[in-house]
Amino acid sequence: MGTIEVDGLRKVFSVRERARGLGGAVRQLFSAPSREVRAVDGLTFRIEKGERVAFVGPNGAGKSTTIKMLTGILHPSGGAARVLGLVPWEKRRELAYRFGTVFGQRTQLWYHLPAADTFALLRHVYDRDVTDHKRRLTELVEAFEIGPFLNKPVRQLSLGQRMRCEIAASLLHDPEVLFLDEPTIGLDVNARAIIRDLIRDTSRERGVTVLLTSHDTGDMERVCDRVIVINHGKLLLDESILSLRQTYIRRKRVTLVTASERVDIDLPGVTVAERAPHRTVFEVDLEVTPVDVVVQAALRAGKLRDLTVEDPPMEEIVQAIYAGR
Amino acid sequence: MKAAVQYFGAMIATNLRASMALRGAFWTRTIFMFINNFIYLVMWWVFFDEFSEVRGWMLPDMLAIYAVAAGVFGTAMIVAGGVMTLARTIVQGDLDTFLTQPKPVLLAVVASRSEASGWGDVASAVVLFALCGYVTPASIPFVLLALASGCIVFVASAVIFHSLAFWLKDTEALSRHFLHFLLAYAAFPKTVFLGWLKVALFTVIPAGFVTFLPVDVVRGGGWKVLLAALGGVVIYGSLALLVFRAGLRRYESGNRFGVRA
Repeated sequence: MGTIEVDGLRKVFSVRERARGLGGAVRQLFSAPSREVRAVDGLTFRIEKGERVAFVGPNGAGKSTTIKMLTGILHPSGGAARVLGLVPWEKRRELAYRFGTVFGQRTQLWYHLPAADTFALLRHVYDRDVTDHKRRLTELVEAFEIGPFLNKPVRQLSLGQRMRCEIAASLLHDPEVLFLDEPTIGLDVNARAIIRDLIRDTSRERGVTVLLTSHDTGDMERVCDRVIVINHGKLLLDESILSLRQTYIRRKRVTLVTASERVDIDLPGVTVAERAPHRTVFEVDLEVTPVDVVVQAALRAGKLRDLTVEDPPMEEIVQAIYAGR
Repeated sequence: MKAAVQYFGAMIATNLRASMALRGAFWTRTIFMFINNFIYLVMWWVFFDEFSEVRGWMLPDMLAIYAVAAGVFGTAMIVAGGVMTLARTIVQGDLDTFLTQPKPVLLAVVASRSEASGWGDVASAVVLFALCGYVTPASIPFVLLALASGCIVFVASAVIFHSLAFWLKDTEALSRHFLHFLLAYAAFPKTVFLGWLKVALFTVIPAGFVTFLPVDVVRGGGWKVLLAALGGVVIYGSLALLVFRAGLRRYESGNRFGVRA
């Protein structure tokens, strides 16, 4: 049995058509045509225990809607799903003891109170034993380094501090599955890195299964081993991050730092992406010229001080998948 | 059961801490609500200076009505303040947080907010009960039960009207108007309403169960009246649960950014 099993899951919303202008608004008062929007359209996948899966797609792809069905918030229009062997919308409360959620756009922390107060309340929400609760809280306070601001009202915390408390809150009851919907939204680079490490380390140490949605491909690279890409509610791709790179990487970036001020490589499929004195970045089309040929040419081109070969950013890879390339 | 009581207690305690966190706002709202209740009562004071009674009701009876109304409304605002914003919570998709927790959603959402103004209502209720002269040490348990029944019916009717948001979307203003109707009728002697209006006040706008019957209990109505009031609790409580559960199946969530205040 998979930890998360989704089979032909569908969610259709009925959306009112908005008429233009004042006349349209008045007509709409008496008759408003509606149309069906298929937010999730026959999605099928399976996630095993301890896997960390990125759920990726553009805005409106159906990522959040899927997570909301898997957590029992929304009832599906069709298809089936099981989380830890339970149908989420039928056994919502039973299941809720076993998963944690972080919705980056919402909070479960009380805004005017310190996070410590919410943590105390969560003990009652999840019917936790006092000793277990204290032990877990101590572990999380240490791991997430939230001790210094645990007793400060949440409204006075930075977004990064708040999100650390938010994730700690979602892990207090020792969940087996963690659903994260845009957990790094709005965070700066440092805060993002901290949050990513915390999620990955917690999952590794405790075998927590993670399903994470994000627009930030860095989240999926740093946290997850597998990626599911959806668009218009349909599955576009389901494979490991490694395999994704191998399949979709058709370009590489070669950066040369040289003793000479300027260096050129005259090969088909090799273009200059950036140029500065002593530093040149080439973009290599691997279908035209293999990267080892470019490296050999670089060695001949001038006195080399440094050479780096990089994959393109994950953002480009995902865009290529959306574009069907 | 013990866990449920502990959860509800912890929820209310957290709420109270949240509503008292901003000290200035807490005292301002409490004091103004206290003053506000007595401003309305002045009208009846002036009235009974000229006329001795209204269909058998005199000034102490009016004080009892105002005491019950303030007690019912104030308690509801302190322990179940979330009900007053339930329609907005539904429309903006803010039920998500409650739905991912293993507790009854309705209980969690109504208990998720405490209004400081409720303390002003409760304080004025205590003063009004003392002034009306009906309450004796022996009748206190009856009075408290009557207040609890009125409070539950008030919260249940608010749940029913706010739950219309599951079907009609933005119904917050409609729900607020309904509750103002309810409170406006609830602050009059029951004897001034006759015929269909009286029927309506024991059905569609249940002012009868919110204040009329509890006031009768306060005035010495005894067990039978109290049982009738508790009957209202069962009917309106069940109806609220049914409507909310039916609506929950239509819940559409949302993507708004939000905080939990």
